[in-house]
Amino acid sequence: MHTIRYFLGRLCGAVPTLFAIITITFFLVRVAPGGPFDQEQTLPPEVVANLNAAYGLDQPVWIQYARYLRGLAHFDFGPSFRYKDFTVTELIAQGLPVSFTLGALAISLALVGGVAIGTFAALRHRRAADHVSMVIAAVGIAIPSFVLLPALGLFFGIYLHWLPVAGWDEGSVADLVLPVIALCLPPLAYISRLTRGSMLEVLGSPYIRTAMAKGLPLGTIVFRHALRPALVPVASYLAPAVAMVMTGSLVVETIAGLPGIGRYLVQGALNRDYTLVLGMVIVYSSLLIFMGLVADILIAILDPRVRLEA
Amino acid sequence: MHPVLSIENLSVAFRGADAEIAAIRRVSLDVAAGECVAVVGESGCGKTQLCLAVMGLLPANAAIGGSIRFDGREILAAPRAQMNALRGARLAMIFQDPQSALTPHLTIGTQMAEVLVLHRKLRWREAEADALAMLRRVRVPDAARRMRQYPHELSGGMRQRVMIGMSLLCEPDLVLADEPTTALDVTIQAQVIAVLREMRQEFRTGIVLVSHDLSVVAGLADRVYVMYAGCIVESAAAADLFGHARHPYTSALMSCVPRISGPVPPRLATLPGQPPNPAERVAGCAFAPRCAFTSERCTRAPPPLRPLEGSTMVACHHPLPR
Repeated sequence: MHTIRYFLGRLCGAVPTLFAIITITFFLVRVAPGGPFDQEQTLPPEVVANLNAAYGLDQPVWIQYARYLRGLAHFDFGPSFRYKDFTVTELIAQGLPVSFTLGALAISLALVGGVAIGTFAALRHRRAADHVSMVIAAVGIAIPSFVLLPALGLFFGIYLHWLPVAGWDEGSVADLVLPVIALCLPPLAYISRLTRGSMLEVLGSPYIRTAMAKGLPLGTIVFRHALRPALVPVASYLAPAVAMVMTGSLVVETIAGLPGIGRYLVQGALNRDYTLVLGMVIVYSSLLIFMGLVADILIAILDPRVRLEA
Repeated sequence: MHPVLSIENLSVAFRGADAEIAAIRRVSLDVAAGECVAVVGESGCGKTQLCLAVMGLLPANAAIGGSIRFDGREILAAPRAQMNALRGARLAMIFQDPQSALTPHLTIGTQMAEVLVLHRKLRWREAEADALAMLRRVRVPDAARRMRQYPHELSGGMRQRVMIGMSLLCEPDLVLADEPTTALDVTIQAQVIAVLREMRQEFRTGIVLVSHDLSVVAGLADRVYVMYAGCIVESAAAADLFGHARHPYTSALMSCVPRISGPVPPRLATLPGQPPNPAERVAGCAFAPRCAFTSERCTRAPPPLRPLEGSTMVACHHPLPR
């Protein structure tokens, strides 16, 4: 009950934050030189004037802003300026399930794999397995996805013919394997280092010594007594990890030819597709704010000494 | 009847980066069934390491020599499975700081019941019922509610009683109590000592009481071992030791205890100087630099631990007269 009230309170608190982000972005994209209808061939001035009138760009900026907010109140992100005949809502609704599946799989794999590797390394502290996994983790953080994904595609796709190099069929699991691996590796590597550090600290704490003095087997000590406190830093890293996966998905989706929403942010910004950029910023920032909230609640669940206070 | 715990010539040293640090030097100690043996000395004299050595909980870089027999069986360097069968069941330890020695994210009930589930093969329900009964026995007020609470929701005294109750759940043959009252204020200390005394009578549990607090020791111990710089310098029945300390260190330690009765001294007696650096080898008696009775012989040859009259043993070339 307390948690639910806290959750709702924080959600309401997120509204002004989101509003500020929308406002800043709205004016910022308009400050950038150029406009949505600038092309290599200059259009006749009458055509540009007609287009501007059709999209309401001939109005003063504050009226455009007021109209945009009015649309948002009805969950209408407005028409895309570049993808003719599409609204931003339609574009995002088409791509979001693909990106969401990709991102959720990558985050889940990063969490499970990272925590498992980190815990294993901590239990093998200063032995070969510890060093090997931490070197792999360092490599995982260092290799960018635009190098890793083509390399994976070359090996598993072209040499071994196990998996498709790129492309997307609705509901095809095989298409997602390599992109998910490429996407999850940096956060996985980071989480494994985080877990190893916190697990080493917890394993050296007096209450683990008490647990050993009770004669508990190692598995019980790790899973019942050590894992929960060791996961607190991992939970704090959740929101940055989601941000990392979101920006990563931009590259990975492009290379793997997945019809997600990652491409819209960069394309929208380059094309001065004002509504599309705003729509993407709203989706991304809502997700980040939400993950921050989830992380705070997770920490309170992991550590009963933490009190949730709005 | 053989003793519950028999330590012979135990040495513990830690391999550091450039030096070997001797924490315990050839210590021998016996605890009979139901006996309370106190180990006293300054901080850093090796008391806690002694307990951890018995529990098999010394860190991996510790070099251990000698012998530790529990109920007649050698447990030094015993395999982990064998130690786990003893730990928590027949051999238990009460840790110094109950604030950090209890798992913060598990309820008191879980932390206590898991011992019974593990060693007595009870179901969780039954184990929790037994744990609750134990909390009442160690006089934790409002025990049913405490079962569902987390350690940070309890006071220091209550946490220590939980620690004591947890160690006694399987009615162990031996409890190692490492500074059980140090983190507590004086009135709570008295209550905790009373609980320990009761439990000892009820379960005939042997106790190794590690403390630097002589008043705690005087109220509980049958026999006292005084440690200095990793060695035992004097051992005697509690009554003999508190009546007539024979080692100058023991005597100095006792004169440092402030007294309520009698004339007020101008300032609290203290022991000048510091214990030797454990990384350095001392040629003679380790206490010689701080001792008022040092002779040339003391700095040359280390005094062996030798019997005086009665059960008293002392490691001193110039023991104090009775």
